[in-house]
Amino acid sequence: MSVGEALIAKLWERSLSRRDALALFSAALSAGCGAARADASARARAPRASGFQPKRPRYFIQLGLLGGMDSVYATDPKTRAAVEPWVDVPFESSQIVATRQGEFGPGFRDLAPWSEQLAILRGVVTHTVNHDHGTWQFGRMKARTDRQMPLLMDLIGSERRDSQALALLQLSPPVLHEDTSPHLVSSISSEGASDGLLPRLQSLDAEAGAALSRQLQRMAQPRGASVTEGVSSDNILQASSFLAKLAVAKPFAAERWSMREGAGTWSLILQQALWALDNDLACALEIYFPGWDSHANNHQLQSAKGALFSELFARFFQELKARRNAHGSLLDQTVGVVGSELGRLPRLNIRGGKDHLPEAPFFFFGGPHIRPGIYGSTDRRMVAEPIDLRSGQPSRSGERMSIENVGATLLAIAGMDPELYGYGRAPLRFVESA
Amino acid sequence: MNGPRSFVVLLAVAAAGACARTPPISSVGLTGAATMRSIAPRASPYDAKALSSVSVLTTGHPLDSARAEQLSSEIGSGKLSFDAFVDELLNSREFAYEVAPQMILKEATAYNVRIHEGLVLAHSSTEAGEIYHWRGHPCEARDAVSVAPWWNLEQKVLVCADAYRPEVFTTTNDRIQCSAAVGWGSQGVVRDRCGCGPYLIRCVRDEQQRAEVSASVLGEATKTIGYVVEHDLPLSEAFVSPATFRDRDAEFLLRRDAIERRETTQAPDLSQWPESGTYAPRTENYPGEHAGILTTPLIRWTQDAKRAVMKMVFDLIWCIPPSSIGVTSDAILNLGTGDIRAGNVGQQELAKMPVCTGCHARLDSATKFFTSFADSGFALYSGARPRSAGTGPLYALDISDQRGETELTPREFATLAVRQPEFPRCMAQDIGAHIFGEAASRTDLDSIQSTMTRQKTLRAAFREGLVRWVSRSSERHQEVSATPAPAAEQTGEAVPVNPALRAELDAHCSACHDGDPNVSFVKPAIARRTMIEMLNRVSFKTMPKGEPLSNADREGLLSTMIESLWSEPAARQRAEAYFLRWNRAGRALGIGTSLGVLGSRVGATGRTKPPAAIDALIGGEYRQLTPGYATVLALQALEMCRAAGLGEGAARERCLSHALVTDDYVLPDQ
Repeated sequence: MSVGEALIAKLWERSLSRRDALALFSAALSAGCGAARADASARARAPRASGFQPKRPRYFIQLGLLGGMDSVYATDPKTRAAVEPWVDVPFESSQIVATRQGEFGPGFRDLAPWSEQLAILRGVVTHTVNHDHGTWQFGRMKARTDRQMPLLMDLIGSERRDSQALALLQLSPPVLHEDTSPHLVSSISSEGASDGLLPRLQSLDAEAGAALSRQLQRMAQPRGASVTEGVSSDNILQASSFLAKLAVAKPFAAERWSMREGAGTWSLILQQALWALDNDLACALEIYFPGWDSHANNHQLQSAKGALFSELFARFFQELKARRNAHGSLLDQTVGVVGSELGRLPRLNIRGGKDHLPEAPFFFFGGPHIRPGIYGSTDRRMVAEPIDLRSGQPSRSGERMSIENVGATLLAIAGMDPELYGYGRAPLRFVESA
Repeated sequence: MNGPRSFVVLLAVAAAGACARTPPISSVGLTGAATMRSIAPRASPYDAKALSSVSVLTTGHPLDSARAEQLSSEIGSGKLSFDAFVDELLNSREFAYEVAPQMILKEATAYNVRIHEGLVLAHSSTEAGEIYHWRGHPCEARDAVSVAPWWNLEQKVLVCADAYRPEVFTTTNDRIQCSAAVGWGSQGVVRDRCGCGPYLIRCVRDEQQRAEVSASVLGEATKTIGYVVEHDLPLSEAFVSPATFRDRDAEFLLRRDAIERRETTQAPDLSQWPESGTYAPRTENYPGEHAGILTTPLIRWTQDAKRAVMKMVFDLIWCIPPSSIGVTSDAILNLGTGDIRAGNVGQQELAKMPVCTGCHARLDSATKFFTSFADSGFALYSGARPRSAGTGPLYALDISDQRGETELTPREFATLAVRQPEFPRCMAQDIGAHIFGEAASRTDLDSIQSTMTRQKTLRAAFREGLVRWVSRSSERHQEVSATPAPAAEQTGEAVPVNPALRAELDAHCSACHDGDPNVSFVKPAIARRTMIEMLNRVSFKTMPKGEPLSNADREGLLSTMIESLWSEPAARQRAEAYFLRWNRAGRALGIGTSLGVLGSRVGATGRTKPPAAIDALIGGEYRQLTPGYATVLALQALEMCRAAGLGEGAARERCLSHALVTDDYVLPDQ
């Protein structure tokens, strides 16, 4: 029995509570949204690409560790013997954690138990050493971006399933300043603060939320037939559907995930992400954790950030695996990517920090959609080596992986043709499961 | 308040609210200034909706519909000139103090993060009274001392000794000044043993005071621009003058520097300073130390490194975004140093290196004009470092593009920079982005720039933009018909150049790329990857370089390339939505402006704080009617309805229905 059918049965039995009534309203609205959205979409978007795959994952997550991760602490650890003398390797080889898939640096040791769920990319070229440009590129997973380009998760989210309210929900702490994108909903949140969009919505009473949802649905009537009008109308309907779903969503309650300093905001945001998936609120999530820019005291900062991130992310992974919503296990339905907009120079500066390198570590995660392994490699200077883009193995006649290959891969996993969105580089087919 | 009567009241209040904000147009004379450009009145450009949009663009507030109709009729009949209507709007305080600062400062307003949470004191109640302390570090009453705080020298407060430390000015482990280090939270307290300093000058009393001081920091920049615009001074004044508009808190932040420099132990006496502020020169440690908004805390404290601050400065005065593309690891490692960011060797080499020179020649030479302002990760006061002596060069595009050499002070830097053509071009770009969004044409921008160069003031240049906007909005959009071209068959990795594509490439690309070994259009086919990259660059207007195509030419070239790449209609349609329209939604008003519109519709007075979302931070051409924007708008409408006593039941439904009208928040397509 579907949710709608169950509600109708309750109505028949006259046991409908206020929450049930709102759920019924929400279901009706979703159905209405689906129809209206189909109309709007017909104007706004072309039919689905011929390559659309029904097995496409339901959820996509992009997680940016902004400022620049140091790969040697994270997913590309080296022994001192394996690098040039001037390369900074600030730990003993005994601190490297070996798994069947490969090695993890001491900063990412908590992720080692999850190695069989990860496809790690070593040496991805970002083409830039500038944070602003790097962040613009990271959001699009594309080289040579413009701020007007839609975000990658926006493109993927715009192909959402009908019952998903939003295309893209972005969660970040308050220091982040990013770009907008055609289908974006952003919420800036921090521990204890109530002025982020999500906290404000979560404090909204159900009746008021339903009233707003109704008014937005009315407001969404298209005013013209252009592509732009269609997108606007679709967007207002997304907002309407979002508010309707929130009115019946499970209340959000954050737990304390870690005692480490600075864990509060990060764990809050990861829990908000899980809550969004639990309630099927959005197709794509974009999550940003800034603070990795270690121009001074690199060892101290990267060790601390890495330990904090890997502890929280391991917990996030555990929750993804344990939780199910109406569509099945969250982990089975999700594909994600984690990376930085740029990386760190392998050489220390006079402040014990590391400046910028136009390469960064990335990894994909996900249930059955990802083929686990370690792909790509770096040389004795920690610089990317060319690989065979079909196998992911080193090849002198190959080419270096680019951030754009990563973006094309996510589009391909989503069943979308990367070229139609300006992604000229090939998807990394080797990270996709057969 | 419920029922039909309340709705009538609501409408009356809304109309009154809108009228109250509407400038008294009827008082305007019939002719504009003789030197100003005028366009012949026509019926269509001056319809009520267009006039209301002009009002929204200029003041942030729509016209009441009856008033708009009346003005439209008066302008249409020649009773009132359009120039006079625009002049009235441009003379408003809303234009000077709300619209103009948002337009000129752009995203700089979003960065006000230097009143760090670590600077906010906590306090706990004891038998001895309230004791202020670092968060997480309370103390016993016996460990507290009595201090006259800067915010009220007449009334002493108790402070834990470790949060005071008036004798400590630098950290023990590094050479960091306590003014910056205390903002690092527990690190500043425990490891570096800094305190709030004499009179607690580095700290704020509570979150409310933190918000007030933050508002003062922001207000110094916005009100300085407001003052310059209100008095119709040359816009360059806002970037060059030693004067700024400072309220009492902003003046305190300036004067406390003397204590940090240990020139005095006396607390600043601000009793004579107007509490709401005044436009006045800043005291300088040396002639030329200050340069308009460029040396205000809002800009200086934005980033923790000078190069990053200079990046923002150049974004403000020349609109040059970072362009760090095509950098390779080999090039960086071949510098042979780890000190790329701060070291002189790294800087000098970067300024000369291909690719890097495009930013580093300009940024790194410019930092030398600002040496007396330390990196804000090192100190938050002026004079923390000695100024550089002598003269230095100013570069624009790269190290071969020197624009002059002048004395190494911020004011001399700014004076030289605003004399360059990049300055009026940048102001035109800001105005164009505000008025036209991403649809500003090269001709629009040239025209605004020319007015800015000639007349120097923001009002004059903005008026030119408005006149062009109204004139264009009356024209029907030319639908670009798809050029019929045969579907190209893909030949492996290459795309054949058919006659239609050949004609487009010859018209728009070949002049620069003939003989280009990297991208040659002479061959009968182009690599598919290259074609995709060409699509990206033409679509997002980075090609043709320096010579943006007209919208029609751009669409023609893109359509032809799309037809050459894909044969399926569905794929073409999808590619067109992305490359021609960027999948965009309608162009939305800024959140601040939309709150004004909401207030006018609901009849609510006072401002509500929108939820923290990207839509509240971005500006100009980037705003769209995203689902997030719609959600924020809906929440604000609800708050305003509640504030107007219409927050429940049927009254709420009617209030929301009246408030949420798409046309009010989306500007017409151009």
